[in-house]
Amino acid sequence: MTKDNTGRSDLVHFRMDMDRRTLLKGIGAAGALAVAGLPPLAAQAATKLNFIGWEGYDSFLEADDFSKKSGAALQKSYISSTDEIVTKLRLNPAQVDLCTPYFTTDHFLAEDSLIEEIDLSKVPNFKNIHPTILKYCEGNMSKDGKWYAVPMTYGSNCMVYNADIIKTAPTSWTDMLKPEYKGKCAITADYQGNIFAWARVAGVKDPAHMTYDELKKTTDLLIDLKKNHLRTIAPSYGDLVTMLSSKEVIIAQGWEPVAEWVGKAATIKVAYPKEQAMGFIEGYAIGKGSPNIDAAHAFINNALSIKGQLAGATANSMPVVIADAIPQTPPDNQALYDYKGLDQYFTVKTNVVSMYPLDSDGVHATWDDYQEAWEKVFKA
Amino acid sequence: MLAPSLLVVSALFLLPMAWFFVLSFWRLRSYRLYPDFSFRNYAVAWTEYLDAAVFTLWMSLTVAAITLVIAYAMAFFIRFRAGRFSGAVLLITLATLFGGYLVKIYAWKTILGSTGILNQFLLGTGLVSEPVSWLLYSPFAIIISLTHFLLPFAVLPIYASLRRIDERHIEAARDLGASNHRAFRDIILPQSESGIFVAFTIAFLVTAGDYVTPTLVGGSSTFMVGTFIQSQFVNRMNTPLGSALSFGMLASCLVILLIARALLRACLRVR
Repeated sequence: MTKDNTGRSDLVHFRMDMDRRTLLKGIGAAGALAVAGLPPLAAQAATKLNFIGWEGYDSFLEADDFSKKSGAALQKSYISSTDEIVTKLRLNPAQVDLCTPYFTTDHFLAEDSLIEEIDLSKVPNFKNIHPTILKYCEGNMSKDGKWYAVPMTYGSNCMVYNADIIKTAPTSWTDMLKPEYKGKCAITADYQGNIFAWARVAGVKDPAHMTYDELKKTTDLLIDLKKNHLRTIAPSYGDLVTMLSSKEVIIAQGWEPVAEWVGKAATIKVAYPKEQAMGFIEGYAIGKGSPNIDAAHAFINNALSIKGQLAGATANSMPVVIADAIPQTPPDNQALYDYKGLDQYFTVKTNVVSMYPLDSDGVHATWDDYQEAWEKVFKA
Repeated sequence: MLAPSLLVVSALFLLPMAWFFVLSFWRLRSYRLYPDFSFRNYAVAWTEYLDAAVFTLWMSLTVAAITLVIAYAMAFFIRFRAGRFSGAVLLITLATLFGGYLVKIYAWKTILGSTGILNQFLLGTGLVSEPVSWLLYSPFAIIISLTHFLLPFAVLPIYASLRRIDERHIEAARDLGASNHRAFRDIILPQSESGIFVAFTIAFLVTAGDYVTPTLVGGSSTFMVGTFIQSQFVNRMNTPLGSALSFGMLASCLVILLIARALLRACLRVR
């Protein structure tokens, strides 16, 4: 009791002495210390890992109460565009412990020393990844035998449609241009997938390496789609789910889990147009200089455990990449992803592209040209 | 006395603004920044984004004008007509602030959609035979969403200025034979000028800088300049162009607000 009173008295005394001048001096001293180079917060709190990625991609990492077991927790920043990750890595890669960069950007992120090489000895579950997945992600995620990202799921910017209203499954992206779907179709702001789809409609063989003329044709097709057919461009897949549920939209460029997320509100089915959909294999990477590199590896390894994989499959209807996890996935997940035809998925239904050119060779459009083309679609 | 405020404003506002102003003259090559002193970014902003900027300013003026009229009517009612219920009405008005920005936008999506409440009502009453599609994903949806969101922010400064009006001035005008309209025109309106301008400025600037509402309810053809500024900073890593766009918009907004201030003063001058 006495101690408490003494403490309070001290506190009051301290506050009374703390005039404005003293406070400013304190702030100044704290600022000077900060400028002088105190270690970053991430380094002080070794158990806090900064995760930057899509919402839902963290479900693999934290499965089986891994945060509790490891004593390390994720501080999450969800993104609305994968380009945000590149921006954050450019600002300070050491502040990004775990991220999910777009699979095509892994090479240049590694070349620019923005992500760490993955130490596979710290990710023993890596060896359990399905060989077909490894085959199609190797080109983007590894270089000279070194891996810079670890795959954990995959998917495509496929087509989704309301099977209650559309009785015959669409077979081409151009089905969105049919008069009966005018004002009832949508695309998302996922520009890479949309540019891929309409480049294929324009007859482009490799949509990731288009000439300026090919990119212009593709842009014109997208502008026509936007101006004359679309209800809207959904800012996120969550918004697309809302639109499909309310039947505001009945056909759209989407992503496989969307069909499950709509639930009973409408019968949403997935279609793979004959021009193919852009396929992607998503992976985790570690920011260069991350002070929590061992913990980051441990989280990635947990994401590749059976429990980690099944957590993602159950919570978010995403496909798994670990061979032994496939038979244990829920039936709806197995129905959505034809695991037996995995090779066909990446060759016939979808196409996993490589990175756009970063520098101009005078013939091919660069990444910035692709982004500018997408802006033109918005502005039109 | 001003020192702490100046310190905070300088550290958190002026210095970052100055930094971005300097960056607006730099250039970007291969996603790397290079110091420069070129007006190229401003030229690109002018040529490539002029349409978006004009549309944004037009939308901002529309939202600000509508918000101002409704907010003034509400504040007037609370100050002069609600009597002993004025406190309760003001509380109800401000209570909508607790709803949150995104909640309001999604609420409007539910109301305005093809299968939304409003369309169901119109179809049910036989006023339309098909859902009205332009209610959502259109400039109309942006205007109604932002007006609803901004109303409490506009009511407050107007109400504050109306509270300061000495009722004896109004009574004196009436005693001298002024009609209700004349008393409103020559006594109330001029004395609430500061509140009107603050309310207009808040509504105008918030709309001019908004990119979330157009993205969520604006549809495929109503992208405002904030969308492109965000894209330059976040997606294209082009801080110089994003900064130039921002300062271009800031300058345009300042010019419009100065004109609005002058017009307001001219209109409210006592005859």
